[in-house]
Amino acid sequence: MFRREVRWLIRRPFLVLLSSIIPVTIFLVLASIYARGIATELPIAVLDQDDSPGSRRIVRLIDAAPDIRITTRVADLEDGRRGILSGSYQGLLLVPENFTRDAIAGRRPEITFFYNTQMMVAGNLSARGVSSALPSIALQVQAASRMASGMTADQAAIAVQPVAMQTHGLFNPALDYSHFILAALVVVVLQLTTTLATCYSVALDAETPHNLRILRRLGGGIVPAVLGKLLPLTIVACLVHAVCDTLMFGYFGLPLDGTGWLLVLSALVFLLSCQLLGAVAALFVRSPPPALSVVALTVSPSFGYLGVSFPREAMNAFSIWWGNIFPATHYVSLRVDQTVRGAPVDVSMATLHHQLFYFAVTGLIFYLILVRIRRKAAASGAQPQGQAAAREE
Amino acid sequence: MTTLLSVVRDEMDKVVTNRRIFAIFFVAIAVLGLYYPQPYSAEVLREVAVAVVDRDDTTSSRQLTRDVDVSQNAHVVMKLPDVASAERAVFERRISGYLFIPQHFEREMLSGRQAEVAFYGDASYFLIFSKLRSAVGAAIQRLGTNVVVGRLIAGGMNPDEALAVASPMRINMIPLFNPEGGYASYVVPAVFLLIVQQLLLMGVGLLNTLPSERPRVDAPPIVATAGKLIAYMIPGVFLYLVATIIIPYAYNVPRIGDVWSSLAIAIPFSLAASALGLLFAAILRDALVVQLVCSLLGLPLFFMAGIAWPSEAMPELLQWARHLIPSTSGIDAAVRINQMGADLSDVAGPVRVLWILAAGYASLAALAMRLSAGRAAKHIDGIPHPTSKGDLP
Repeated sequence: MFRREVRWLIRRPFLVLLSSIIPVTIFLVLASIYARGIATELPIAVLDQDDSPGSRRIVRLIDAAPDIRITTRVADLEDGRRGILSGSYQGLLLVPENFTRDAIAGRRPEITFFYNTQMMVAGNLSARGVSSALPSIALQVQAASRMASGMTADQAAIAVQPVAMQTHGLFNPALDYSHFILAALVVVVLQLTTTLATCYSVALDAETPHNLRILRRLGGGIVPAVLGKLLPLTIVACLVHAVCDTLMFGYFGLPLDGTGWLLVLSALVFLLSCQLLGAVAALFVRSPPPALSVVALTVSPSFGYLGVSFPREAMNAFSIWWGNIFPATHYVSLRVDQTVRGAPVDVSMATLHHQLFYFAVTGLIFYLILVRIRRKAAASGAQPQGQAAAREE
Repeated sequence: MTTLLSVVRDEMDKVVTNRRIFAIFFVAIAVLGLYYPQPYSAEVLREVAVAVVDRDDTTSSRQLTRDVDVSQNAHVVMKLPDVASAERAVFERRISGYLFIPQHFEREMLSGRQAEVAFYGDASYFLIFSKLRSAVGAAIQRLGTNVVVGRLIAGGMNPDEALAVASPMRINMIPLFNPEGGYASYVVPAVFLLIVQQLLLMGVGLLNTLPSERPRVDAPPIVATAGKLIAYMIPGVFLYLVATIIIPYAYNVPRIGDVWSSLAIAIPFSLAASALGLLFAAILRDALVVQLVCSLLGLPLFFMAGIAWPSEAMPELLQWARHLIPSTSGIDAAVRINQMGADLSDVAGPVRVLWILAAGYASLAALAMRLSAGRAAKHIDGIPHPTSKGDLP
C-alpha cells in the first residue's frame, strides 16, 4: 500500500511540488522579508522653527538614535503633513520657536512628535525611537547645566535622575521580532501546504467509491490503508520541516533553547493533525476543487488567530475558541516556548495535551466517516456486484 | 466594436451563470468579512497584566506600584515574593512582565544616591512590550521628578522653578490618523484589499481555465482581453467598494476619504488584478492549479504588502519586486485616501504604477492567448508544435 502510494505520488508531480519545493520557496521568500531583522533608520522629518544652537543640538541627538533617521527638513506644518500623506516619512518632529530661550528661562517648552499610526508598525517604531531618545536628551541638557554650576558628572546624573530603571526584554533582548514571526510562519506555511496536499490526494481517491474500496483492499483494512495513504506525505512534510528548521536555526540564527524530544513529538503530532484535517475535509466534500476551496478558505486566515502579532489573550471569545481548530495554534505556542522562550517542560505539557486531544478528535472523526462510507458502499454496492457476478456466470 | 461588446456580454453571462465563479466574486467576501477580522476586533490593547516584586515595601515603593497600576496601559494583577515566581508567571503567560523593586530602594533614593529598579517585560510581543515599558517608565520618571522637585524646594527654590529645572521640556507625542491606535483599523483596510485581489485572481483565473467556460465568441486576442477586462470591472469595483466601505463600516474603522478619489483607485486596481488573473490562466492553464497557486500566494503577498513589516526594512530587491503585485500600490493608495484623507495628488505615484501594471499584464495576457491560439491551430493541423510543452514555466 505504502509503495503503491509512493509510485502514485511520483506520477503526480504537482502534488509532490506542493508538499516539498513550494513550502520551502514560500518560507524563503517570507524569511527574506525579515532578513534584515530589526527595522532601523526609519525616515522622519523635522520642522525646526527655533533654529538655534540648542534646537540644532537636539535634532542632531535625535538623528543619532538607532531607530530613526532624519531625512527631510520641512518649511511648515502643511509641508510636513503632505509628506506623511504621501508616505515619504512616518513622523514629524516639531521644535517650536524660541525653544532654547524658553528652556533657559524655565518655561518648559514643548517638543511635539507627530507619527502615523495608520501604518502601525512603522509609525510606532519611529515614535519609539523619538520617545526613547528625548528623555535622555532632556536629562543631558539638565545635567549639562548642573555640571556648569560645579557638579561632577556622576553627581549631576544622580541629581537629575534619582531613580534609574533597567529594562530587560525577556526572551528577546534585542527586540528583534523576526524570530517570533518566522517561527510562526514556518508553521503556517507547512499547515497550509500539508493540509492542501493531503486533501488533494485523498479527494482524488474519494471522488469515486470504487477507488476507496480498492484502497481498502490493497491495505487490508481501514487503518493500514489510511496509514499507507498518509505516511508518504508525512515523511515529505517532516523532511520539509527539517529543511526549514535547519535554515532558521542555522542560517537565520534563531535561538534554540528548549527540550528536543518535546519539539520533535509536537512537530509530528502537528503534521499528522494537518493531514487528518485535510483528509476529513476531502471526505466531507469528495470532489477535489471544492474540497480545496474549503480548506484554503478555512486555513488561510489562521495566521491572525495564532496570536503572534497580536496576543491570543487579548482577542474576543470567538477568536480564542476558533483558534483551536487550527493545528498550528497550539504547536506555535509550544514551539515558541521551547525555542525562543526556553520555558520549563511542565509549562509546555498542557499545550502538548491540547495537541494530542486535537489529533485524537480529528482522527476519530476521520475514522467514523470512513466507517460510514464503507457501510453505505456495502449497502448500495451489494446489488451491482451481485449482477456482475451473475453476468460472469 | 461589436465583437468587443459580444465578448463583454459573453463574459458577464459566465460570471452570473457559473455558480462557483459567482460565489467567488460575490459571496466569498461576505464570509471572509465575518471571519477574517475577528482576532483583531478587540482593537485597542489596554491594561496589560503586570506583577510587582516589592522587596522594599515602603511608602515610596507602594506609591510606585500604584502609579504603574493607574496608568491606562498596565494593571498590577499580583504582588509576588520573589523573582522565581514572577518568572514562572511569565512562562505561564499570566503576566506580561514584572517590576523588581530591591530592598533599601526608598533609603537609597532619599539619601541622594541613585536607586535602581528593574523592569522585566515579555518582549515576545512588540505591542505589549512597548505599552508596558512606557507605562512603567512613565511611573518611574514621575517618581524621580517628584524627588528632584522635593529636593530643590527643600533647598529654597520655588515650586515652578524647581519643576522647570527637574524637567526642562515637555514631550508631546501625537498619533495621527488612527487616534485610538486600534489594531483592526490598521489591519482590516489593508487585508481586505489583498482579499479583493485574491478573489479577482482566482475568479478570473478559473473563468479562463475551466473547460466548461470555453470562449463562445471568436475574437482576436487583443479584443478578447479588452472585453474580458471590461466585464471583470463589475465584480472588481463591487469587491473594492465592499472592502473599502462596507467592511470598514462594520468594524468601526474610521474612513475619512473622498469616495470619488477612492473610485479612481478602484478602476486601475481591479484592471491590474484581473489582467494578472488572465495571465495566470494563460500560463497555468489548469483550473485546479490556478486554484492552488492562488491559495498559496495569499501569505507571501500579505507580508510583501508592507502592512506587517515596514517596506523600508525589506531587502532592496524585494522593495523593488513587490511593486509588480497590484496589491502593493493598491493598498498603499487606498489606505492613504480612505483612512488618512489624502488627495489623489498625494497618491499619484502608486496610481501610476497600477495603470502600468494593468497595461503590462493585459498585453502579456493577450500575447499568451495568441501564442496558445497559434499552438492550438497547429495541433488541429496534426503538426504538434515542438516547443508546446517546453515553454510551460
